[in-house]
Amino acid sequence: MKKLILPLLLCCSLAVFAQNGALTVIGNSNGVPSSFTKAGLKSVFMGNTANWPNGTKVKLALMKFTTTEGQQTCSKLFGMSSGDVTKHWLMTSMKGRVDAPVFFTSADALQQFVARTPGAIGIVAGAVTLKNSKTVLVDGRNSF
Amino acid sequence: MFIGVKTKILLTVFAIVLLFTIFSLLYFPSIQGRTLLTNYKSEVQNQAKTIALGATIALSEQNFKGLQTAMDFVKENDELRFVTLMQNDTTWTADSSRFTIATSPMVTFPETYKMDDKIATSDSIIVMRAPIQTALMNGEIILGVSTQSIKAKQRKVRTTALLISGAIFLLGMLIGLWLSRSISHPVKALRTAARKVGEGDLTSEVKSHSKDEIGELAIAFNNMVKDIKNLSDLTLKQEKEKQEMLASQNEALEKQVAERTKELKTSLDHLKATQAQLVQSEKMASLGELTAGIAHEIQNPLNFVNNFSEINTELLDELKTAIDANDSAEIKDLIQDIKDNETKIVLHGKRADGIVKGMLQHSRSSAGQKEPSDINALCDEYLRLAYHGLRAKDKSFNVKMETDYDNTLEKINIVPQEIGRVILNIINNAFYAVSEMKKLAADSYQPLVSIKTRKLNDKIEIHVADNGDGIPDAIKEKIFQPFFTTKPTGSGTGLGLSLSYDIIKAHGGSLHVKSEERKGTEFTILLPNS
Repeated sequence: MKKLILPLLLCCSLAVFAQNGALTVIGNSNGVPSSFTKAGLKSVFMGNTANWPNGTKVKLALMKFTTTEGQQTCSKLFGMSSGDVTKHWLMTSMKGRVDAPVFFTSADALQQFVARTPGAIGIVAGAVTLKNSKTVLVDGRNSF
Repeated sequence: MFIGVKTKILLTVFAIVLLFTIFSLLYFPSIQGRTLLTNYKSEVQNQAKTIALGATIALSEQNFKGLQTAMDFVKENDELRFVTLMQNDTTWTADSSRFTIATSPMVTFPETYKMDDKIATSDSIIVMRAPIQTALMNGEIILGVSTQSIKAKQRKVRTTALLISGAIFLLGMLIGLWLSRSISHPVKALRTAARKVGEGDLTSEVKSHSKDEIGELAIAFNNMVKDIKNLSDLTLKQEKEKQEMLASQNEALEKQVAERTKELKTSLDHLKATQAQLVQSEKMASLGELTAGIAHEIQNPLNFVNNFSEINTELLDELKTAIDANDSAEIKDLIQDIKDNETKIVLHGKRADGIVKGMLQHSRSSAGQKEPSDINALCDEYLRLAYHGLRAKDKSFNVKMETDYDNTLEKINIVPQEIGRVILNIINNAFYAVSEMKKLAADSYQPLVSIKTRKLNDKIEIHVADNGDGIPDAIKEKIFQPFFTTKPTGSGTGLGLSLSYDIIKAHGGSLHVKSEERKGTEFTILLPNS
């Protein structure tokens, strides 16, 4: 019974979080810095950083732009439409300098990806719930 | 021009190998090169499509993994010149009444490549396009790949083809040489063996180790030669047996022939003896006839000599009486008579002497030597001899004789005794014919024998004709055959005309007869006038 109640509560909390429009940056414990400025975070998610300071390769994780979190990320982080972000990553992928972000349809999957992938950084609408993950501060705050 | 089997095979193989070499050197690389290019174009097109598909997925599903994989795959290609994502942008006028669609490069890899949106496939580059149609954007992927590697591959294909062609040519020629040798050698061996067999050497054998048709032919040939040898040996054996049989038969025959020859020789000796006897009889008959004529000739003067000698004996008795009577006138008359008689005795003695001398002369010159002779005199002499010879035997025989000699005849070279014998023989036959006719004919029949000589251009003719019974046609061809006679047995040898014919032939002349029954016969002797 406890097994059923805990995920249900987590989902409910995330839904509340999303409706509030606050996004949280989560990162793998290995390689990902603990804090960013918003501009620095945008630069990372625009593909301008290939490796973290400890040499770990940067792995980006985003919610699909068809999700609410995805749409919020485009507007709050990139300041662009989802189409422009997609085109940007299309061009960047073709140039091949960095890997394109991995897109997810559920925050849980995104969190699991970040938790198990060294150097992975993602944006979700919720708190960090998994081991090997941490909340990355943006401009000194847990969310933006 | 003779072209051997080996050369023919070699030429054929050379032509085939050459054709195949040309094919593999020219056609095969050409096809291979085109196939390579087509495949490479297809590959490039697929790569462009894969990138376009990856881009489509990325645009529609934000899944860039496929695109990245595709790009990583393309970038690994050393021949990659560029990959460009082209975007079709719709540009409206200010009043939004019209729009234009412009195609512009969105991103190009490598970034340094200066993209020309009108670029197309050329000799140095292959350009392939793949469309992208999503809700987010329309455009296309243009992928440009250098043809350098393809050209290198084509060169490699040509080089390989050249090497393979050379190897094929070399191998083909070696195979051709081996093939021609493997065919021509047994064929030559067969030919040599066949020639030897043709020359009679039945021991020749063809050695062939091949198990093909030529090998079978060699075996068949050897069997054939063996059969021929067996047959030849059999034939030789049979031939030898036949020869031995023939030799024994020959020996027996030779014995028989020797016996027969001996018998024949004996018969021939008998025959020759008989013939000689007959010839001698004929000669003796002729001699008898001659002797009779000669005797008559000599008898006449001897009669005169005897008569006048007897008269002189009587006159001498009368002279003795007249001397005793001393009648000088009578003595003178008697002496004159004796002298006259002596003159006659001498005259007729000389006549007889002349006859004897003539006979001696005949006998001396009877050695068969030719000498110039007067044909007219010869005819006349033998006509008289024949007549007197017949008269000596038959006092009742009487015949009218006519002579017609050509006085222009010159002496010709003949053996007079032999030609005289011929004339005598023919005249005797004529006398016999008319005397026989006389016995059968009426009293008014007057026997007539005529002799005539004529000179022709290079010949002379002697005609002896009678008005006797004639020769029947049935026996006309037989009269010159030896021992043929119509006279009663003992009266003729049958050799007269046969010998006459041979004598005239030996003189280079000819003897002919014309006869008509109950009218007479005419013999014509033709002799060369030389």
